[in-house]
Amino acid sequence: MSSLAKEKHIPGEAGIWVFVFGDMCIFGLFFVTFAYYRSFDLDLFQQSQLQLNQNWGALNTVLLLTSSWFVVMGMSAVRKGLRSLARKCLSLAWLCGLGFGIVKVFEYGEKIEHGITLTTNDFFMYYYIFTGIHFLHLIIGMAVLAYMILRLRHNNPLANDLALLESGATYWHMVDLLWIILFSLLYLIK
Amino acid sequence: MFLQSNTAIWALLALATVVSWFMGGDATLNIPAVMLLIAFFKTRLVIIHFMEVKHAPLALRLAGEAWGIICCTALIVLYSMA
Repeated sequence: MSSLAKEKHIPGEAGIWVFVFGDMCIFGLFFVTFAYYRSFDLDLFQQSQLQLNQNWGALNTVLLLTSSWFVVMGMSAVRKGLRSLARKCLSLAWLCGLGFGIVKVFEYGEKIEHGITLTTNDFFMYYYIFTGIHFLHLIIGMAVLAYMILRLRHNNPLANDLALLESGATYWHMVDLLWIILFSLLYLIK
Repeated sequence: MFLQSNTAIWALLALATVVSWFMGGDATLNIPAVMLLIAFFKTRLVIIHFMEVKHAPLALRLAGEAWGIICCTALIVLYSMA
């Protein structure tokens, strides 16, 4: 491990943390809003939840956790100057993100095929809005990962790109952690 | 060592996912407060280890911890009221 990682330092640009914590607070409000309105119509929320496939949700959780792990390994490779290994790790993280997206599109399609849409009831309104906004974050995150991979193709000194790469990694981990709570609230907790 | 410890964190996160997935399908084990604690334990692992907040200045660490504690407490209260 490099001395850089051992020092007390803010990973990435300070600005990314303002954005990340802002986003996490907005999602925090989403979670509380969902739990608040759930308490008024518990039966409807519980019955609707039964129509979600927990297996798809769990698969997507593992895919995002694994992608985060690849990003951690990629950043470790960056700090060791192993450009090629870093690129491979970030590419694998991107593929895990793609896997998440494919499962989600398939899941949306399955629901719509059964006539379950945004207007079906309050539970599905929250389901589509929250997972939809998260999906948008995923697409942005995949674009960020792709940019990071492209940056690693150039021969810029890695030290110059470290803050940029750490910022991208921080954003991707946020996409992962927001899904962990969405999975629990929407799919698991009765 | 760095890779090994983060690999252990990933394994712990995957294990916690499988455990909560199993608990989610069992009426007696699906206790909202316990499920929420597992979920926020997972997000704490991501924040501290994967987002490298453990190496960050104290203010960033406190912000990360505060987010988890406030969200988790609010949700446990709301779920217990339902």
